[in-house]
Amino acid sequence: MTGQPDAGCDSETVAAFSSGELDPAAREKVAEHLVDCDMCWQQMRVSRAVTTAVQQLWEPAPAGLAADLRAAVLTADATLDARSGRRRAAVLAVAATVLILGGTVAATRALTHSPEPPVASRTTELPAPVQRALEKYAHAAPGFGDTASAPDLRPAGFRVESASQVGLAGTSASLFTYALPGSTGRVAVFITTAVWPTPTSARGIGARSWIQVLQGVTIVGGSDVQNDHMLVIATDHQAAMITAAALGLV
Amino acid sequence: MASQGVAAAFLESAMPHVDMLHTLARRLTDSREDAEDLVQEVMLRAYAAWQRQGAPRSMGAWLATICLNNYRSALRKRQARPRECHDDLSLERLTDPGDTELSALAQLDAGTVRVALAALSDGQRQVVTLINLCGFSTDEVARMIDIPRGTVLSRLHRGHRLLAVSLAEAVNR
Repeated sequence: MTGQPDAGCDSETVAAFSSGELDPAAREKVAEHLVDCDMCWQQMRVSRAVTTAVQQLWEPAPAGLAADLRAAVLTADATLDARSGRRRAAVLAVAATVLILGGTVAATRALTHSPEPPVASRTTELPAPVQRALEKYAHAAPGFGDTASAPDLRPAGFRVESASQVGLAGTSASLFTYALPGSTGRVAVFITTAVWPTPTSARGIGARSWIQVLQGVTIVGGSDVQNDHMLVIATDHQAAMITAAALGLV
Repeated sequence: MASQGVAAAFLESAMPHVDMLHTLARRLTDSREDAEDLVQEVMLRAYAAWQRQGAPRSMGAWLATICLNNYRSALRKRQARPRECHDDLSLERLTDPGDTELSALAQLDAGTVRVALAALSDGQRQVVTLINLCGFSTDEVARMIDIPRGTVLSRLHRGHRLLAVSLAEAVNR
């Protein structure tokens, strides 16, 4: 070995060798050179050590981001304005809440097959960005009123009142509403076909669930052991928590 | 329904590359939120392009190229100058780490490596990230960044050398 560069020293070729890119003949040639050249040998060792260190920085996308991306693509127009970025997801999360602010209305409309545009027309008091998101991403489809498929919350004292099918942020969801005993309040339960992204401001309340209180509305999201994905939403915090517990979310 | 079919085909092709895209975006941007914004922007732009042009030949390389272009475009909007590459002279003055330090590099925590990588010039950081983290070949990276393959290899070599020195310093601290 020599400590000085010779005619065979080529740091770019050694870099290609370290990245495993040379064809077999070139690899063999570099390997022979490495035996005799301290400098290139050292460069190869440095490259290998650095590559190993750098590979710690592989960062898979968070589950919530993957769900957001699916929802964003499924709801995108061809002329999409891509500038709003991930913050769009926060608006969608609010849209879920808003759907519930008018949510029992949406369900009832669906049951009675109303031709009226659902939800959006019921949310005039809501902030404009939320309304826009709702108009764009949420709609209730008529023709689904089968309360027999609703989770049974009678042990908790809640009676199923309505059922509907809604599209929300590109995700199909069954929406069930329940009447609370001795109250005019309602609890809404979405059962979604895809994991709902965890809002940024939510906090975890279990391995698979989270809670967020927004504008006086409690939202609990997560999946049960059967991997059914759900959102429970109510203005009555205690009712939301009882429902979430009854559904196995917490 | 046709549109849903196009979206489903796009997602099926693109979603396997999301982890790579997120890894790349994290190394290009300063925060998790910015990285997630960038990934979402890339996916939406890619989807719009897919609707017009159909599937690319190499989905991963195509997404990474859109990501790099978006990043550069954002830099231009902020009128931020990319950090310049170190010249050969400064590189030659560096002392390579010794055997003990090289062995210790693998034990360094990710935070230290992240800081060292972030301190490289934009060009070096992109090449190291694309090749060593995202798994692209030097030919692919040359096409993505639109520079000769020799320049890619040169940036890779310089990036490795500078990283080795700064990581060795961290070992000795």
